[in-house]
Amino acid sequence: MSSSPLDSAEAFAGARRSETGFDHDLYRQFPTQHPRPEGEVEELERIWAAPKGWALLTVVNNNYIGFFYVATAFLFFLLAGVLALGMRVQLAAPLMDFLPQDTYNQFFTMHGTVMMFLFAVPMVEAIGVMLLPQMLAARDLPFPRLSAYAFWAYFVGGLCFFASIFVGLAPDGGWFMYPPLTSIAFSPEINTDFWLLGIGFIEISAIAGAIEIIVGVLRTRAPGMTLDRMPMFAWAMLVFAVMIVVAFPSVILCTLLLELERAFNWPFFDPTRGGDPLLWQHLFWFFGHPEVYIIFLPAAGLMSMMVATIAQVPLVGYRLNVVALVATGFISFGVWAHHMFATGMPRLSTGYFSAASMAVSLPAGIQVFCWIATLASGRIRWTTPALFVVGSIVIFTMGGLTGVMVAMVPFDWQVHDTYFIVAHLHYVLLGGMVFPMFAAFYHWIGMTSRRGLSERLGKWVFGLMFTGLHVTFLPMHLTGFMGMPRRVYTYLPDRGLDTLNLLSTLGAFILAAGVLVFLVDLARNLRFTTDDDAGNLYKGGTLEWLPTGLYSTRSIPLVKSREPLWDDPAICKDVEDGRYFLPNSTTGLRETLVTSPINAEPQYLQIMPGPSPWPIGAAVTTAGFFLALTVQAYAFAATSGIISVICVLRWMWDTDPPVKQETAEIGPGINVPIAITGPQSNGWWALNVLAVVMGMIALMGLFSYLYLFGIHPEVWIAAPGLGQTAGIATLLLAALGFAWLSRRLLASHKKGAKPGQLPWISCAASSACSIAALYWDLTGWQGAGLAPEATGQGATVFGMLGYQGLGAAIGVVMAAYLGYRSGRGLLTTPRSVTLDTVARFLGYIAIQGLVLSTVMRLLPG
Amino acid sequence: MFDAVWGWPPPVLDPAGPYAEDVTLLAWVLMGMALVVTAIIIAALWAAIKGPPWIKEKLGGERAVWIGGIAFPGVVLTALLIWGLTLTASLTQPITGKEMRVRVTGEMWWFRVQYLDEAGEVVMNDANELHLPVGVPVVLELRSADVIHSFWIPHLSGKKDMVPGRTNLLRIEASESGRFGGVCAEYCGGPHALMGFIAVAHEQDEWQRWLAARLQRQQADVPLPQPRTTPLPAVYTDVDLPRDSALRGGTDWDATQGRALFMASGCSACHRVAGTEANGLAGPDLTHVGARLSLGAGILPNHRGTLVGWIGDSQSIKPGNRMPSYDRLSGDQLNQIAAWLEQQI
Amino acid sequence: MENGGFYNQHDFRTLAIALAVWTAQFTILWIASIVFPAQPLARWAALPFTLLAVGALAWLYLRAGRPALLTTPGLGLAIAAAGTLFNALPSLLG
Repeated sequence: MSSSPLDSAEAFAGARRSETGFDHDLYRQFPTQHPRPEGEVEELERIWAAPKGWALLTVVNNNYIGFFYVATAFLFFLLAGVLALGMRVQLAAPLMDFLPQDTYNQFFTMHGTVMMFLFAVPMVEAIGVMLLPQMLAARDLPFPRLSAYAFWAYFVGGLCFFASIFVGLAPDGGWFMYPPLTSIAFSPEINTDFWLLGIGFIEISAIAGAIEIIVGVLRTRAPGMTLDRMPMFAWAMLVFAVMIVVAFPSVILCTLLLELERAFNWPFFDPTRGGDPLLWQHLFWFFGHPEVYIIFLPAAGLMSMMVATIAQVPLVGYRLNVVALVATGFISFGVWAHHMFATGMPRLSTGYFSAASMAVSLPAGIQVFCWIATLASGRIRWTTPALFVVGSIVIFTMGGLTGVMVAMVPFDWQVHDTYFIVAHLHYVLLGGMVFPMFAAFYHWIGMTSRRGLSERLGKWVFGLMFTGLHVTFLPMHLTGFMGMPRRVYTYLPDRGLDTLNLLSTLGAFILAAGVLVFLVDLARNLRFTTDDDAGNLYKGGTLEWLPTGLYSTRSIPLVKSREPLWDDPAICKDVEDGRYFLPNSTTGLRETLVTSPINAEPQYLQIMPGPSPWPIGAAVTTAGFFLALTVQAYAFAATSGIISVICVLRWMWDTDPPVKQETAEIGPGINVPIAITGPQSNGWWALNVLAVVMGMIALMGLFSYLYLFGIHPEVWIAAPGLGQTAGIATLLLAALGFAWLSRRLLASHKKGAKPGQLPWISCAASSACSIAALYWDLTGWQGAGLAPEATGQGATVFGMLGYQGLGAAIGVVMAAYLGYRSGRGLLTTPRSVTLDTVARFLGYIAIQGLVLSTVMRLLPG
Repeated sequence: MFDAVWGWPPPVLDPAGPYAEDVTLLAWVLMGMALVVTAIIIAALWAAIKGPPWIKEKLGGERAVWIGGIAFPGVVLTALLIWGLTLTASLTQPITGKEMRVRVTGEMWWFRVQYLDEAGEVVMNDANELHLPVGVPVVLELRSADVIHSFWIPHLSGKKDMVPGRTNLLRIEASESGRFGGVCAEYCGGPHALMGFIAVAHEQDEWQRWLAARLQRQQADVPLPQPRTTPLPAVYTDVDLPRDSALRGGTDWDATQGRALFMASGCSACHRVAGTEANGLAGPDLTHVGARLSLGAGILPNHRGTLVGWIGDSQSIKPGNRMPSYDRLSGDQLNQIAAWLEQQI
Repeated sequence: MENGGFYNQHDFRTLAIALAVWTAQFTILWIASIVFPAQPLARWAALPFTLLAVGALAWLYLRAGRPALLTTPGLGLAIAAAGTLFNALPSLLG
């Protein structure tokens, strides 16, 4: 084992500069020596107890929500897998009649859509919800009700969406749904609308999860867990969440645009009226390619941790691995058009994307070699997780190499849209995510089940799945070379494809048999529990293996290394005995520790919410809203939407409560504030992330506007006059000013004084200015002769103004909410989290409006 | 049936033209690279797990990551990129104006083929078949009438999408004569799986003959059927009659009836036969359908049985396609129409 | 300026700016290639912007105090420089 400058461990006490002014000498007193008072554990159990019976649906704790989430995602894996079996039976022989054409087209669309949107991303997010707080020794995620909302929306919406296949209403345009095939002219039925609105709430779910994970990974780690000591999965989830925040807005926008085109005939993708089908492809793939890395990176993070545990040595090249994760995530945003090499892009363009696509494989290779190096520096024990881990390295490498092959443009021009690509994508997804997922199931089952899974059956599961994968997908490389295109419900008998396809079908059933054995194992051995779990079956070294109850760990440890359980054998007992931070509840409520982003120095104590019916109520009604819109039941949709807003507001009402107790003692002589406002608060961070999401949607909208101008400048008309533009800009600047002013007005009061009416009135004024500006903008364009259904310009201008309108409408609701809260005397002075959130949101809306309006009016000029 | 249009060896590895040869070489090199690197990774894994201590020590440090994960891939990827960029450039040279021009329009679910002269005027119409001379570069102008399709002849070149609102150019060239299969390679809904075509490359002298005959046919009126001089076999609906058989075309009476039925049944609303009153543009041009190598867009061989079957019940063969099944016509009527169409070469 | 640490705030700023420079160079090169599709202008424009990007990275390197390679800013600058140059290859050869 060689060490390098990158991996030198550093002593913690006193050698590091403090990030927040926290005195590191205070760390020296841990683990504490005095025994803890009686009854602390019982009180924690009482405070964190889960509701019983039907009330369990209102639970927000990550142990439950995480388990539900994983189970639901796995259910979708099985459902989409059954669809795949149906497809393979249909393709077992030429001109088979097992699935008629329309059914097959729905099957393959649903297989792809369910796997990508309802299984892969939610599964890695679910594993994060279950494992991350434990790995960071936090008591829960920072916004438990938000994760409950995200889960229930996904659960209800996803199942209803899947049910569409039973009534023949499943989408049938491919998982990527290219227009014009999916435009109203060629897809007049509501199947396409099901897809568009169906994945809408899944997008919301993913973004809610991303906000949670960014704040969770950066703000709720155990003290002493610097960024350099974070588990690799936490790094991976951080990159994952940032990628979601940057990539998902693109697909949110393009689904919105296609729905507007279908419902109102706004020609975003119609070339006869100034739109362009390739606009969809750019927007979709700007999301779609990072999406596959969003799926892969968390699994890679899990792999890194499992490899270290399997070899019983720390991961070799920790920092290189972190760099690889970040580099993969970053570069993956620059490769999207490699899905469009055959669309007639300029050659130079294809060159740029080819270069980037080759570059993105390099960091993945770094990770593979880190894993090999780790295995080499330790001693492997051939457990089931080990088999899956080693197997997935081989499979993922093969898939990655075919990826390098198709990054070469001339080669891609031959194999694009053939079964070669089907082979490639399944190798990377199965090797890069599914196999690591199965490894993770075996590896971490001990955290959530009273019994571990069977090693004997596990080896069968691996053997069948590994064999089945190769028998299914290896022949597909050849099938692609033989000329078999993708998304075909049958093929002709004289093409030499018969034997290869039959082989693939057999392989699919072998793979399915492996999954079936796994299900048998699960049924026999999985016994869900929150406190009597099977424990550290594979001798891992990270914090999730500390003894836990529903309250997570009894006390939050001080972290001094990357594998605390290996470096300090006494840590489990010490944590259990309460010898570290926060061994009790200081307020009688649920609490967790918030620490600084880089050094994890304790900053404040966050009060966590308990079970609540409002998130599930909001989630079910949100899903109901989108689904009712799909089937055009507008009255039901409106009702559902209104109830949803009411649920959200009622949920918000419970936040930012006035807190009597000012500080809490989290350790001997260590006192931290309980409530916090301003840039340190979690709410501040959450709004920042939301602003990035909304800003990316606006940016993609502006890209669409400029892109369509570039393609069809002939339909462009002149903007209204500059005077009008200046007026609108002034109104929006006023909106920004009022929003800023409201915070100043509140801050001008002393602590505890009544703030009066002015702060919220200032917010209301900001909201009014934004609305007025929008109205003026819309009528101005109408006066200039622009109509949304007439040209691509009209569609994008009115589309983006509509988006601005949505934000402004939310601003009105928020301002009203603030007014009500202010009227009830619930605004704390001189700072208030509620006012901060509302004012900053209104300020963001003003800025967004300013940018959108002025750019669309001044360019192209 | 299709005379080695598809099949073994795999078309991507069986180039028949200069725009495919270099790509095939690239494919072999890439496959070799992939196999070698996979073998290296498997060997490294094996050595890391089971190898002797001195190998484990070499693999177990960060140096192995720098060399295996950064240096080695960096060199290989750069070399491959340079090759890929230069190859792409050679496949997409600018248009010189000396190439043969053909416009192919993707429709749901067939290919409209129009041969153009130097000025871009259409001189000949056809469907689902592309004829080209050996050794002459051809520039295809690819368009779409409805949704996104893709045009791909793996033996001759890579594919290019047909996007509505755009014209994409694709260069192909055959260096040997023969028949090469093609498919639509972008999901276009419905029976996308059954949308194909055949490309035929002719030697130079044969090309001249073919072209002359075609142009003459396009300009001539369709002659009335000629009287038969030899007797027909008892069952003239024998399905395996070769295309150039003198026995095709049935009796004089059948073909005349067939022509009348063709016009009366509404076929002329969608189909065009040069030299007749049938001038429909919505469906494939049938001027040369008798000589076509396939029917239904590259999916059926062309003989009496398939012709009758297609006209009578195309919806069973290719569900969802835009031609209704003419099952209201009797078997005799269908045979008569087929007899007349067989004469349209 | 602490080397080897993730702890100094400057580290992240340098990293972020280096990545932003790379992003800007990629975006400009790509937009040039689609705004001027068939013209050599896109290719000729790529060279000065690449040089500008490399120059910006060099200035960043000096401003960050010539960090060693194996630090957050050092790796960030190295990756951004390698990426910028690799990015520019198509404009030379394509």
